[in-house]
Amino acid sequence: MNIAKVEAHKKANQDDGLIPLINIVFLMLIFFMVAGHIEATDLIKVQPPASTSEQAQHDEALTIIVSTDNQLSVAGELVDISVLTTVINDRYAISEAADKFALLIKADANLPVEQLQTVLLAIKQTGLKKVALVTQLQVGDA
Amino acid sequence: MVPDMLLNQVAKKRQAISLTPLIDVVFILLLFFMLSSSFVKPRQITVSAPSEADSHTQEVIEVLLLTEQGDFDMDGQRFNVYQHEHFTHVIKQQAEVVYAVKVKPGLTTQTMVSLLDGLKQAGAMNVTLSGMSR
Repeated sequence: MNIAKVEAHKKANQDDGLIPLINIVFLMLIFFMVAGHIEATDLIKVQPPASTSEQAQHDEALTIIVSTDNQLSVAGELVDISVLTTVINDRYAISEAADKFALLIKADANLPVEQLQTVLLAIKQTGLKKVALVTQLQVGDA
Repeated sequence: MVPDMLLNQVAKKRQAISLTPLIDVVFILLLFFMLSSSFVKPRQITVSAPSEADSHTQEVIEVLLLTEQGDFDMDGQRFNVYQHEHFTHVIKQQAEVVYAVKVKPGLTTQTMVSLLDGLKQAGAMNVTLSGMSR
């Protein structure tokens, strides 16, 4: 009788205490999988300015990153401001759809406007018209 | 005799699967998603209006941004970006005009973007950075 009772009672698995942990970790995993966007990190880290603009970003644009310490990168490669016009023209020449070619400037929010103007001047020399500035969505009152 | 009894006990006991490798894999996946996901919603604002044939004949109002706190001059009057009411009705009366934004040197891009935002929200339809339009 005693033996039967002992056998009927299942031994608690040693790992049973970990089940709540696994629950929470799975929940966090699902949250990050669903809510986060996986993005490639840029060559230079910048914090774009906040704006209430709702215009979604075009993915096919050529991205120019301008950081506060005077670093410039075009499509993942560091370039110097003096060759920026040439680089953009080259990229435009080899692009497949010339009328869809757009430029995207990712400037840091604290970048002095003169430096941005220098970049814009270089872009103006290429003659390209579709230029946009990357912003973060700002929620709430401006 | 004794080894037989032990064998029976081992055979009766269910082979429990250890949960430790599962936790390892799940933690690694979680770490990957935590590090690679970004919650910033990227948006964009166009800084150059496409030049049309009659763009030169349109009236242009110059907007000059003066301070980090958002003070700007427009049409001879001083306004502040964060006080919408003051310039909203001025802009609403001239919504079709091209607003050419100029910025005093030394100010940040964020302030300029806030000004562009403010002008657009007040109803200005053509806002460009001066130096960009032909």
